[in-house]
Amino acid sequence: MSKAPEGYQPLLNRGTRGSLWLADDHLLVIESTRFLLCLKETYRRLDFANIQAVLHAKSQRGTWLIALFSTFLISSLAILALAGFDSTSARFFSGAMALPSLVALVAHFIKGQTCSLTIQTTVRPWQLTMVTRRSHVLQILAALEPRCREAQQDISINSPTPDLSATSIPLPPLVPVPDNSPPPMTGTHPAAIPAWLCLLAFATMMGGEMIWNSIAATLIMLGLATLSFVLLMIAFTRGGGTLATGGRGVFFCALSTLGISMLGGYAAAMTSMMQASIRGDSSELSSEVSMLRALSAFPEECPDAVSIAAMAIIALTGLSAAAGLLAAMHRNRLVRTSRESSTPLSP
Amino acid sequence: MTSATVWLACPACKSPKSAGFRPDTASTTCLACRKPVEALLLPRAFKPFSPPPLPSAPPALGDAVCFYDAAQKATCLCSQCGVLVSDSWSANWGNRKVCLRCLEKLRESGRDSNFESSRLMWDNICLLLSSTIFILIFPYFAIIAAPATIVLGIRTWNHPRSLVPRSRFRLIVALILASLQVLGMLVGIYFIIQALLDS
Repeated sequence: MSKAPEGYQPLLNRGTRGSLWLADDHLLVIESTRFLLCLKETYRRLDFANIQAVLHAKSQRGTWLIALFSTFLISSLAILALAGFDSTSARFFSGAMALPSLVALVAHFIKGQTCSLTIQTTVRPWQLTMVTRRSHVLQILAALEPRCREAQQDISINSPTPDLSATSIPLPPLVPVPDNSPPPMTGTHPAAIPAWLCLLAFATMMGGEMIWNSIAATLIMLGLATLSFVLLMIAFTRGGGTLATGGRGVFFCALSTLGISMLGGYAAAMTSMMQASIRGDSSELSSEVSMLRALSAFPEECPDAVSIAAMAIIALTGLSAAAGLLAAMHRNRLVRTSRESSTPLSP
Repeated sequence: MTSATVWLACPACKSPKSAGFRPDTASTTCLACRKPVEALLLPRAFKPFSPPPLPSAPPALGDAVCFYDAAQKATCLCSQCGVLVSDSWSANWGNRKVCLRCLEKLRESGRDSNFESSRLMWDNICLLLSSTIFILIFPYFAIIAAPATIVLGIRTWNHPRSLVPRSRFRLIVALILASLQVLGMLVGIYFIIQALLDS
Protein backbone atom coordinates (compact mmCIF):
# COMPACT_ATOMS: atom_id res chain seq x y z
CA MET A 1 0.00 0.00 0.00
CA SER A 2 1.37 3.42 -0.92
CA LYS A 3 2.10 6.00 1.73
CA ALA A 4 0.00 9.12 2.03
CA PRO A 5 1.26 12.62 1.22
CA GLU A 6 2.14 14.61 4.32
CA GLY A 7 -0.97 15.87 6.07
CA TYR A 8 -3.36 13.72 4.03
CA GLN A 9 -5.48 10.65 4.68
CA PRO A 10 -6.16 8.17 1.87
CA LEU A 11 -9.70 8.13 0.48
CA LEU A 12 -9.46 6.29 -2.84
CA ASN A 13 -6.39 5.03 -4.65
CA ARG A 14 -6.87 3.70 -8.19
CA GLY A 15 -3.19 3.46 -9.07
CA THR A 16 -2.40 5.01 -12.45
CA ARG A 17 -6.01 6.19 -12.87
CA GLY A 18 -5.62 8.68 -10.04
CA SER A 19 -6.36 9.00 -6.37
CA LEU A 20 -8.23 11.03 -3.76
CA TRP A 21 -6.76 12.25 -0.48
CA LEU A 22 -8.39 14.02 2.45
CA ALA A 23 -6.81 16.98 4.22
CA ASP A 24 -8.21 18.96 7.13
CA ASP A 25 -9.86 21.55 4.90
CA HIS A 26 -9.78 20.19 1.36
CA LEU A 27 -9.93 17.18 -0.91
CA LEU A 28 -6.85 16.56 -3.03
CA VAL A 29 -7.63 15.05 -6.43
CA ILE A 30 -4.65 13.51 -8.22
CA GLU A 31 -5.33 12.92 -11.92
CA SER A 32 -2.95 11.17 -14.27
CA THR A 33 -1.92 11.68 -17.86
CA ARG A 34 -1.12 8.16 -19.01
CA PHE A 35 0.64 6.40 -21.79
CA LEU A 36 1.06 2.84 -20.48
CA LEU A 37 2.41 4.41 -17.28
CA CYS A 38 1.45 7.60 -15.46
CA LEU A 39 3.61 10.31 -17.07
CA LYS A 40 2.16 13.40 -15.45
CA GLU A 41 0.14 14.03 -12.32
CA THR A 42 -2.25 16.96 -12.03
CA TYR A 43 -3.33 18.11 -8.60
CA ARG A 44 -6.62 19.78 -7.76
CA ARG A 45 -7.58 20.90 -4.30
CA LEU A 46 -11.28 21.24 -3.62
CA ASP A 47 -12.11 23.18 -0.46
CA PHE A 48 -14.78 21.52 1.65
CA ALA A 49 -16.28 24.97 2.20
CA ASN A 50 -16.69 25.51 -1.55
CA ILE A 51 -18.26 22.19 -2.49
CA GLN A 52 -21.89 22.72 -3.50
CA ALA A 53 -22.94 19.21 -4.44
CA VAL A 54 -21.70 15.71 -5.15
CA LEU A 55 -23.59 14.26 -8.12
CA HIS A 56 -23.52 10.70 -9.35
CA ALA A 57 -25.33 8.70 -12.00
CA LYS A 58 -25.18 5.24 -13.46
CA SER A 59 -22.80 5.15 -16.44
CA GLN A 60 -22.92 3.18 -19.70
CA ARG A 61 -19.46 1.73 -19.04
CA GLY A 62 -20.87 -1.37 -17.38
CA THR A 63 -23.11 -2.20 -20.33
CA TRP A 64 -20.21 -1.85 -22.76
CA LEU A 65 -17.98 -4.03 -20.55
CA ILE A 66 -20.65 -6.74 -20.39
CA ALA A 67 -21.10 -6.53 -24.19
CA LEU A 68 -17.33 -6.79 -24.74
CA PHE A 69 -16.70 -9.71 -22.39
CA SER A 70 -19.85 -11.53 -23.56
CA THR A 71 -18.78 -11.14 -27.19
CA PHE A 72 -15.42 -12.73 -26.39
CA LEU A 73 -17.12 -15.50 -24.45
CA ILE A 74 -19.71 -16.22 -27.15
CA SER A 75 -17.09 -15.99 -29.91
CA SER A 76 -14.85 -18.50 -28.15
CA LEU A 77 -17.79 -20.91 -27.75
CA ALA A 78 -18.75 -20.37 -31.40
CA ILE A 79 -15.20 -21.16 -32.49
CA LEU A 80 -15.31 -24.34 -30.42
CA ALA A 81 -18.65 -25.32 -31.97
CA LEU A 82 -17.45 -24.57 -35.50
CA ALA A 83 -14.15 -26.38 -35.15
CA GLY A 84 -15.61 -29.33 -33.28
CA PHE A 85 -15.24 -30.32 -29.64
CA ASP A 86 -12.64 -32.98 -30.45
CA SER A 87 -10.08 -30.56 -31.78
CA THR A 88 -7.38 -30.00 -29.13
CA SER A 89 -6.12 -26.75 -30.63
CA ALA A 90 -9.67 -25.33 -30.81
CA ARG A 91 -10.29 -26.34 -27.20
CA PHE A 92 -7.04 -24.70 -26.12
CA PHE A 93 -7.73 -21.51 -28.13
CA SER A 94 -11.33 -21.26 -26.91
CA GLY A 95 -10.25 -21.90 -23.33
CA ALA A 96 -7.55 -19.23 -23.53
CA MET A 97 -10.13 -16.77 -24.86
CA ALA A 98 -13.10 -17.78 -22.73
CA LEU A 99 -11.45 -18.08 -19.32
CA PRO A 100 -10.14 -14.47 -19.03
CA SER A 101 -13.45 -13.17 -20.41
CA LEU A 102 -15.39 -15.21 -17.85
CA VAL A 103 -13.14 -14.06 -15.01
CA ALA A 104 -13.47 -10.43 -16.14
CA LEU A 105 -17.25 -10.77 -16.40
CA VAL A 106 -17.53 -12.28 -12.91
CA ALA A 107 -15.18 -9.61 -11.50
CA HIS A 108 -17.27 -6.92 -13.14
CA PHE A 109 -20.44 -8.24 -11.50
CA ILE A 110 -18.72 -8.54 -8.12
CA LYS A 111 -17.41 -4.96 -8.30
CA GLY A 112 -20.95 -3.71 -8.79
CA GLN A 113 -22.70 -1.04 -10.79
CA THR A 114 -20.65 1.47 -12.78
CA CYS A 115 -21.08 5.12 -11.93
CA SER A 116 -19.74 8.52 -12.83
CA LEU A 117 -19.25 11.17 -10.18
CA THR A 118 -19.01 14.95 -10.39
CA ILE A 119 -18.19 17.39 -7.62
CA GLN A 120 -19.85 20.76 -8.16
CA THR A 121 -17.88 23.61 -6.62
CA THR A 122 -18.59 27.34 -6.61
CA VAL A 123 -16.30 27.62 -9.65
CA ARG A 124 -17.26 24.68 -11.89
CA PRO A 125 -18.09 20.98 -11.88
CA TRP A 126 -15.16 18.55 -11.60
CA GLN A 127 -15.54 15.08 -13.02
CA LEU A 128 -13.59 12.53 -10.98
CA THR A 129 -12.48 10.11 -13.66
CA MET A 130 -10.97 7.65 -11.22
CA VAL A 131 -14.40 6.98 -9.69
CA THR A 132 -16.08 4.30 -11.78
CA ARG A 133 -18.07 2.14 -9.34
CA ARG A 134 -20.97 2.75 -7.00
CA SER A 135 -18.95 1.36 -4.10
CA HIS A 136 -16.40 4.16 -4.66
CA VAL A 137 -19.20 6.73 -4.72
CA LEU A 138 -20.60 5.52 -1.40
CA GLN A 139 -17.13 5.58 0.13
CA ILE A 140 -16.56 9.16 -1.08
CA LEU A 141 -19.97 10.36 0.08
CA ALA A 142 -19.42 8.86 3.53
CA ALA A 143 -16.12 10.67 3.85
CA LEU A 144 -17.09 14.00 2.29
CA GLU A 145 -20.52 14.66 3.77
CA PRO A 146 -19.52 15.18 7.43
CA ARG A 147 -16.44 17.21 6.49
CA CYS A 148 -18.32 19.48 4.08
CA ARG A 149 -21.20 19.99 6.50
CA GLU A 150 -18.75 20.88 9.25
CA ALA A 151 -16.96 23.37 6.98
CA GLN A 152 -20.28 24.88 5.91
CA GLN A 153 -22.02 24.86 9.29
CA ASP A 154 -22.20 28.67 9.37
CA ILE A 155 -24.23 28.71 6.14
CA SER A 156 -27.98 28.53 6.55
CA ILE A 157 -30.33 27.70 3.70
CA ASN A 158 -33.17 29.93 4.85
CA SER A 159 -32.86 32.03 1.72
CA PRO A 160 -32.85 29.37 -0.95
CA THR A 161 -31.31 31.37 -3.77
CA PRO A 162 -29.27 29.11 -5.98
CA ASP A 163 -25.64 30.10 -6.28
CA LEU A 164 -24.73 29.95 -9.91
CA SER A 165 -23.07 33.32 -10.25
CA ALA A 166 -19.60 31.82 -10.44
CA THR A 167 -20.37 29.65 -13.45
CA SER A 168 -19.76 31.02 -16.90
CA ILE A 169 -22.84 29.45 -18.47
CA PRO A 170 -25.95 31.66 -18.56
CA LEU A 171 -28.55 30.85 -15.94
CA PRO A 172 -31.59 28.88 -17.02
CA PRO A 173 -34.88 30.51 -16.06
CA LEU A 174 -36.54 29.23 -12.93
CA VAL A 175 -39.76 27.55 -13.99
CA PRO A 176 -42.68 26.28 -11.96
CA VAL A 177 -41.94 22.65 -11.17
CA PRO A 178 -44.85 20.69 -9.73
CA ASP A 179 -44.02 18.17 -7.05
CA ASN A 180 -42.67 14.84 -8.34
CA SER A 181 -43.59 15.72 -11.92
CA PRO A 182 -41.38 13.91 -14.42
CA PRO A 183 -39.51 15.99 -17.00
CA PRO A 184 -40.95 16.01 -20.52
CA MET A 185 -40.59 12.88 -22.59
CA THR A 186 -38.93 13.12 -25.96
CA GLY A 187 -39.68 10.93 -28.94
CA THR A 188 -37.24 8.88 -30.98
CA HIS A 189 -34.79 10.37 -33.45
CA PRO A 190 -36.07 10.59 -37.07
CA ALA A 191 -33.40 8.05 -38.08
CA ALA A 192 -34.64 5.44 -35.61
CA ILE A 193 -37.69 4.12 -37.51
CA PRO A 194 -35.81 3.80 -40.86
CA ALA A 195 -32.99 2.04 -38.97
CA TRP A 196 -35.35 -0.57 -37.55
CA LEU A 197 -37.03 -1.03 -40.94
CA CYS A 198 -33.62 -1.57 -42.56
CA LEU A 199 -32.71 -4.09 -39.88
CA LEU A 200 -35.99 -5.92 -40.45
CA ALA A 201 -35.30 -5.97 -44.18
CA PHE A 202 -31.77 -7.21 -43.45
CA ALA A 203 -33.12 -10.11 -41.37
CA THR A 204 -35.61 -10.96 -44.13
CA MET A 205 -32.86 -10.84 -46.77
CA MET A 206 -30.66 -13.05 -44.60
CA GLY A 207 -33.41 -15.61 -44.44
CA GLY A 208 -34.16 -15.23 -48.14
CA GLU A 209 -30.53 -15.53 -49.11
CA MET A 210 -30.51 -19.11 -47.91
CA ILE A 211 -33.05 -19.88 -50.64
CA TRP A 212 -32.20 -17.27 -53.27
CA ASN A 213 -28.64 -18.18 -54.16
CA SER A 214 -27.29 -14.98 -55.63
CA ILE A 215 -24.42 -12.54 -55.12
CA ALA A 216 -26.90 -9.68 -55.59
CA ALA A 217 -28.83 -10.90 -52.55
CA THR A 218 -25.65 -10.93 -50.49
CA LEU A 219 -24.72 -7.43 -51.60
CA ILE A 220 -28.20 -6.09 -50.80
CA MET A 221 -27.99 -7.80 -47.43
CA LEU A 222 -24.62 -6.21 -46.65
CA GLY A 223 -25.92 -2.81 -47.77
CA LEU A 224 -28.96 -3.11 -45.52
CA ALA A 225 -26.81 -4.16 -42.56
CA THR A 226 -24.48 -1.19 -43.04
CA LEU A 227 -27.39 1.22 -43.52
CA SER A 228 -29.22 0.02 -40.43
CA PHE A 229 -26.02 0.23 -38.36
CA VAL A 230 -25.27 3.78 -39.59
CA LEU A 231 -28.85 4.94 -38.98
CA LEU A 232 -28.91 3.38 -35.50
CA MET A 233 -25.65 5.09 -34.61
CA ILE A 234 -26.94 8.43 -35.95
CA ALA A 235 -30.07 8.08 -33.82
CA PHE A 236 -27.96 7.08 -30.82
CA THR A 237 -25.39 9.88 -31.08
CA ARG A 238 -27.55 12.72 -32.39
CA GLY A 239 -30.60 11.80 -30.33
CA GLY A 240 -28.64 11.77 -27.08
CA GLY A 241 -28.72 8.12 -26.04
CA THR A 242 -30.31 4.75 -26.38
CA LEU A 243 -33.84 6.05 -25.78
CA ALA A 244 -33.64 8.01 -29.04
CA THR A 245 -33.60 4.65 -30.82
CA GLY A 246 -36.63 3.27 -29.01
CA GLY A 247 -35.10 1.66 -25.95
CA ARG A 248 -31.90 0.56 -24.29
CA GLY A 249 -32.53 -3.18 -24.51
CA VAL A 250 -33.57 -3.28 -28.16
CA PHE A 251 -30.67 -1.03 -29.17
CA PHE A 252 -28.00 -3.23 -27.59
CA CYS A 253 -29.74 -6.41 -28.76
CA ALA A 254 -29.78 -5.07 -32.34
CA LEU A 255 -26.11 -4.09 -32.18
CA SER A 256 -25.09 -7.50 -30.83
CA THR A 257 -27.15 -9.43 -33.39
CA LEU A 258 -25.76 -7.26 -36.20
CA GLY A 259 -22.23 -7.92 -34.97
CA ILE A 260 -22.83 -11.65 -34.50
CA SER A 261 -24.45 -12.04 -37.94
CA MET A 262 -21.57 -10.25 -39.64
CA LEU A 263 -18.96 -12.18 -37.64
CA GLY A 264 -20.91 -15.41 -38.11
CA GLY A 265 -21.11 -14.77 -41.83
CA TYR A 266 -17.40 -14.16 -41.95
CA ALA A 267 -16.66 -17.32 -39.96
CA ALA A 268 -18.96 -19.32 -42.24
CA ALA A 269 -17.27 -17.89 -45.33
CA MET A 270 -13.90 -18.88 -43.91
CA THR A 271 -15.19 -22.41 -43.19
CA SER A 272 -16.58 -22.82 -46.70
CA MET A 273 -13.33 -21.51 -48.17
CA MET A 274 -11.34 -24.00 -46.12
CA GLN A 275 -13.63 -26.85 -47.15
CA ALA A 276 -13.36 -25.77 -50.79
CA SER A 277 -9.58 -25.74 -50.52
CA ILE A 278 -9.60 -29.23 -48.94
CA ARG A 279 -11.70 -30.48 -51.86
CA GLY A 280 -9.14 -28.96 -54.22
CA ASP A 281 -11.53 -26.36 -55.57
CA SER A 282 -9.53 -23.39 -54.35
CA SER A 283 -9.54 -21.10 -57.34
CA GLU A 284 -9.46 -17.41 -56.61
CA LEU A 285 -12.96 -16.83 -58.03
CA SER A 286 -14.59 -19.56 -55.99
CA SER A 287 -12.94 -18.22 -52.84
CA GLU A 288 -14.20 -14.75 -53.57
CA VAL A 289 -17.70 -16.02 -54.27
CA SER A 290 -17.67 -18.04 -51.07
CA MET A 291 -16.57 -14.99 -49.13
CA LEU A 292 -19.33 -12.84 -50.58
CA ARG A 293 -22.02 -15.45 -50.30
CA ALA A 294 -21.40 -16.36 -46.75
CA LEU A 295 -24.81 -17.51 -45.72
CA SER A 296 -25.86 -19.16 -48.98
CA ALA A 297 -23.04 -21.59 -48.38
CA PHE A 298 -24.55 -22.79 -45.13
CA PRO A 299 -26.97 -25.46 -46.33
CA GLU A 300 -24.51 -27.02 -48.75
CA GLU A 301 -21.08 -26.56 -47.22
CA CYS A 302 -21.44 -26.36 -43.48
CA PRO A 303 -22.42 -28.90 -40.84
CA ASP A 304 -25.98 -29.00 -39.55
CA ALA A 305 -25.02 -27.28 -36.28
CA VAL A 306 -23.84 -24.21 -38.18
CA SER A 307 -27.04 -24.08 -40.21
CA ILE A 308 -29.05 -24.18 -36.99
CA ALA A 309 -26.86 -21.38 -35.57
CA ALA A 310 -27.43 -19.32 -38.72
CA MET A 311 -31.19 -19.83 -38.42
CA ALA A 312 -31.00 -18.74 -34.78
CA ILE A 313 -29.04 -15.60 -35.69
CA ILE A 314 -31.55 -14.71 -38.42
CA ALA A 315 -34.45 -15.24 -36.02
CA LEU A 316 -32.76 -13.15 -33.32
CA THR A 317 -32.03 -10.31 -35.74
CA GLY A 318 -35.61 -10.34 -36.99
CA LEU A 319 -37.00 -10.38 -33.47
CA SER A 320 -34.77 -7.54 -32.27
CA ALA A 321 -35.66 -5.47 -35.35
CA ALA A 322 -39.37 -6.05 -34.81
CA ALA A 323 -39.06 -5.29 -31.09
CA GLY A 324 -37.09 -2.09 -31.85
CA LEU A 325 -39.67 -0.95 -34.38
CA LEU A 326 -42.52 -1.60 -31.97
CA ALA A 327 -40.68 0.12 -29.08
CA ALA A 328 -39.92 3.20 -31.20
CA MET A 329 -43.52 3.44 -32.42
CA HIS A 330 -44.85 2.93 -28.88
CA ARG A 331 -42.57 5.66 -27.53
CA ASN A 332 -43.60 8.12 -30.21
CA ARG A 333 -47.26 7.37 -29.53
CA LEU A 334 -46.74 7.96 -25.78
CA VAL A 335 -45.07 11.32 -26.49
CA ARG A 336 -47.93 12.33 -28.79
CA THR A 337 -50.47 11.36 -26.14
CA SER A 338 -48.66 13.25 -23.37
CA ARG A 339 -48.36 16.35 -25.59
CA GLU A 340 -52.03 16.28 -26.40
CA SER A 341 -53.10 15.76 -22.78
CA SER A 342 -50.87 18.29 -20.97
CA THR A 343 -48.59 21.25 -21.44
CA PRO A 344 -45.00 20.02 -21.45
CA LEU A 345 -42.43 21.37 -19.02
CA SER A 346 -39.20 22.68 -20.31
CA PRO A 347 -36.00 23.69 -18.56
CA MET B 1 -45.11 29.81 -7.29
CA THR B 2 -41.46 29.69 -8.27
CA SER B 3 -39.35 26.99 -6.62
CA ALA B 4 -35.70 27.53 -5.83
CA THR B 5 -34.18 24.92 -8.08
CA VAL B 6 -30.45 24.46 -8.45
CA TRP B 7 -29.56 23.45 -11.99
CA LEU B 8 -26.41 21.35 -12.12
CA ALA B 9 -24.42 19.52 -14.80
CA CYS B 10 -25.41 15.89 -15.32
CA PRO B 11 -22.53 13.55 -14.37
CA ALA B 12 -23.58 11.03 -17.03
CA CYS B 13 -24.04 13.13 -20.19
CA LYS B 14 -22.12 16.24 -18.99
CA SER B 15 -24.91 18.53 -20.22
CA PRO B 16 -24.64 21.78 -18.27
CA LYS B 17 -27.57 22.66 -16.05
CA SER B 18 -29.70 19.73 -17.04
CA ALA B 19 -30.35 18.25 -13.60
CA GLY B 20 -32.60 20.35 -11.41
CA PHE B 21 -32.55 19.89 -7.63
CA ARG B 22 -34.58 21.49 -4.90
CA PRO B 23 -33.42 21.69 -1.27
CA ASP B 24 -35.57 18.73 -0.27
CA THR B 25 -34.73 16.43 -3.20
CA ALA B 26 -31.82 14.04 -3.50
CA SER B 27 -32.54 12.59 -6.91
CA THR B 28 -33.87 13.80 -10.21
CA THR B 29 -33.90 12.93 -13.92
CA CYS B 30 -31.54 14.63 -16.35
CA LEU B 31 -33.49 16.61 -18.91
CA ALA B 32 -30.94 15.81 -21.62
CA CYS B 33 -30.22 12.10 -21.24
CA ARG B 34 -33.26 11.09 -19.13
CA LYS B 35 -31.07 9.20 -16.69
CA PRO B 36 -31.68 9.29 -12.94
CA VAL B 37 -29.14 11.51 -11.18
CA GLU B 38 -28.53 11.42 -7.45
CA ALA B 39 -26.91 14.23 -5.53
CA LEU B 40 -25.70 15.19 -2.10
CA LEU B 41 -26.64 18.85 -1.90
CA LEU B 42 -24.69 20.95 0.55
CA PRO B 43 -25.63 24.32 2.09
CA ARG B 44 -23.15 26.12 -0.21
CA ALA B 45 -25.41 25.34 -3.20
CA PHE B 46 -28.13 27.58 -1.77
CA LYS B 47 -25.96 30.36 -0.39
CA PRO B 48 -25.00 33.19 -2.74
CA PHE B 49 -21.28 33.32 -3.20
CA SER B 50 -19.89 36.57 -1.83
CA PRO B 51 -16.46 37.51 -3.13
CA PRO B 52 -14.43 40.09 -1.15
CA PRO B 53 -15.57 43.69 -1.69
CA LEU B 54 -13.74 45.20 -4.65
CA PRO B 55 -12.41 47.83 -4.88
CA SER B 56 -11.86 48.58 -1.21
CA ALA B 57 -12.21 52.03 0.35
CA PRO B 58 -9.18 54.32 -0.01
CA PRO B 59 -6.89 54.20 3.02
CA ALA B 60 -7.24 56.90 5.64
CA LEU B 61 -4.28 58.77 7.03
CA GLY B 62 -2.19 56.37 9.12
CA ASP B 63 -3.72 53.25 7.60
CA ALA B 64 -1.48 50.56 6.12
CA VAL B 65 -1.59 50.52 2.33
CA CYS B 66 -1.41 47.62 -0.06
CA PHE B 67 2.10 46.79 -1.29
CA TYR B 68 0.90 46.37 -4.87
CA ASP B 69 -1.64 49.22 -5.00
CA ALA B 70 -1.10 52.23 -2.78
CA ALA B 71 -4.66 53.39 -3.43
CA GLN B 72 -6.02 50.42 -1.48
CA LYS B 73 -6.09 49.68 2.21
CA ALA B 74 -4.05 46.68 3.34
CA THR B 75 -6.10 44.08 5.12
CA CYS B 76 -3.73 41.16 5.61
CA LEU B 77 -0.17 39.90 5.43
CA CYS B 78 1.01 37.52 2.74
CA SER B 79 1.95 34.34 4.59
CA GLN B 80 4.68 33.60 2.03
CA CYS B 81 6.58 36.90 1.49
CA GLY B 82 5.16 38.91 4.40
CA VAL B 83 4.06 42.05 2.54
CA LEU B 84 0.89 43.94 3.40
CA VAL B 85 -1.78 43.33 0.80
CA SER B 86 -5.37 44.31 0.12
CA ASP B 87 -8.22 41.90 -0.49
CA SER B 88 -7.98 42.35 -4.23
CA TRP B 89 -4.28 41.40 -4.26
CA SER B 90 -4.57 38.36 -2.01
CA ALA B 91 -6.05 34.91 -2.25
CA ASN B 92 -7.16 32.35 0.29
CA TRP B 93 -5.37 29.04 0.00
CA GLY B 94 -6.81 26.74 2.62
CA ASN B 95 -6.06 28.47 5.89
CA ARG B 96 -3.36 30.67 4.37
CA LYS B 97 -3.53 34.10 2.74
CA VAL B 98 -1.02 34.72 -0.01
CA CYS B 99 -0.46 37.59 -2.40
CA LEU B 100 -1.21 36.87 -6.06
CA ARG B 101 2.45 37.03 -7.11
CA CYS B 102 3.47 34.49 -4.49
CA LEU B 103 0.53 32.30 -5.48
CA GLU B 104 1.65 32.27 -9.10
CA LYS B 105 5.27 31.54 -8.12
CA LEU B 106 4.26 28.77 -5.75
CA ARG B 107 1.98 27.13 -8.28
CA GLU B 108 4.19 27.47 -11.32
CA SER B 109 7.64 26.82 -9.90
CA GLY B 110 6.38 24.24 -7.44
CA ARG B 111 8.38 25.37 -4.47
CA ASP B 112 5.72 24.25 -2.07
CA SER B 113 3.97 20.92 -2.57
CA ASN B 114 0.77 22.39 -1.11
CA PHE B 115 0.50 24.75 -4.09
CA GLU B 116 1.77 22.59 -6.94
CA SER B 117 -0.62 22.07 -9.83
CA SER B 118 1.22 19.27 -11.67
CA ARG B 119 4.36 17.15 -11.72
CA LEU B 120 6.11 15.18 -14.41
CA MET B 121 6.82 11.61 -13.38
CA TRP B 122 10.43 11.40 -14.48
CA ASP B 123 10.91 7.92 -13.02
CA ASN B 124 8.02 6.57 -15.10
CA ILE B 125 9.24 8.39 -18.21
CA CYS B 126 12.69 6.80 -17.76
CA LEU B 127 11.11 3.40 -17.20
CA LEU B 128 9.00 3.73 -20.32
CA LEU B 129 11.99 4.83 -22.40
CA SER B 130 14.07 1.91 -21.25
CA SER B 131 11.26 -0.65 -21.31
CA THR B 132 11.18 -3.47 -23.78
CA ILE B 133 7.80 -2.35 -25.16
CA PHE B 134 9.40 0.48 -27.09
CA ILE B 135 12.36 -1.63 -28.09
CA LEU B 136 10.08 -4.35 -29.46
CA ILE B 137 8.17 -1.81 -31.57
CA PHE B 138 11.18 0.26 -32.63
CA PRO B 139 14.36 -1.84 -32.19
CA TYR B 140 16.67 1.00 -33.25
CA PHE B 141 15.01 3.31 -30.77
CA ALA B 142 17.25 1.82 -28.06
CA ILE B 143 20.34 3.43 -29.63
CA ILE B 144 19.00 6.82 -28.59
CA ALA B 145 16.66 5.84 -25.77
CA ALA B 146 19.10 3.89 -23.60
CA PRO B 147 21.75 6.63 -23.29
CA ALA B 148 18.97 9.22 -22.99
CA THR B 149 17.46 7.26 -20.10
CA ILE B 150 20.79 7.16 -18.29
CA VAL B 151 21.31 10.92 -18.71
CA LEU B 152 17.71 11.72 -17.77
CA GLY B 153 17.79 9.34 -14.80
CA ILE B 154 20.95 10.90 -13.39
CA ARG B 155 19.74 14.46 -14.01
CA THR B 156 16.35 13.86 -12.37
CA TRP B 157 17.68 11.68 -9.52
CA ASN B 158 16.84 14.35 -6.93
CA HIS B 159 13.74 15.73 -8.63
CA PRO B 160 10.49 15.37 -6.70
CA ARG B 161 8.58 12.28 -7.74
CA SER B 162 4.84 11.85 -7.14
CA LEU B 163 3.10 13.81 -4.39
CA VAL B 164 2.28 10.40 -2.96
CA PRO B 165 5.62 9.37 -1.45
CA ARG B 166 7.44 6.57 -3.25
CA SER B 167 10.95 5.21 -3.53
CA ARG B 168 13.41 5.47 -6.40
CA PHE B 169 12.77 1.83 -7.32
CA ARG B 170 11.36 2.63 -10.80
CA LEU B 171 14.25 4.95 -11.57
CA ILE B 172 16.78 2.32 -10.46
CA VAL B 173 15.09 -0.35 -12.61
CA ALA B 174 15.08 2.05 -15.58
CA LEU B 175 18.77 2.82 -15.11
CA ILE B 176 19.66 -0.88 -14.83
CA LEU B 177 17.69 -1.70 -18.00
CA ALA B 178 19.24 1.21 -19.91
CA SER B 179 22.74 0.28 -18.70
CA LEU B 180 22.22 -3.31 -19.85
CA GLN B 181 21.09 -2.07 -23.26
CA VAL B 182 24.12 0.21 -23.58
CA LEU B 183 26.36 -2.67 -22.47
CA GLY B 184 24.74 -4.93 -25.07
CA MET B 185 25.28 -2.31 -27.75
CA LEU B 186 28.96 -1.91 -26.75
CA VAL B 187 29.50 -5.67 -26.86
CA GLY B 188 27.82 -5.77 -30.27
CA ILE B 189 30.04 -2.98 -31.56
CA TYR B 190 33.12 -4.81 -30.18
CA PHE B 191 32.20 -8.02 -32.01
CA ILE B 192 31.49 -6.14 -35.25
CA ILE B 193 34.91 -4.46 -35.06
CA GLN B 194 36.54 -7.81 -34.29
CA ALA B 195 34.81 -9.41 -37.26
CA LEU B 196 35.87 -6.53 -39.52
CA LEU B 197 39.48 -6.79 -38.31
CA ASP B 198 39.50 -10.58 -38.81
CA SER B 199 38.14 -10.28 -42.31
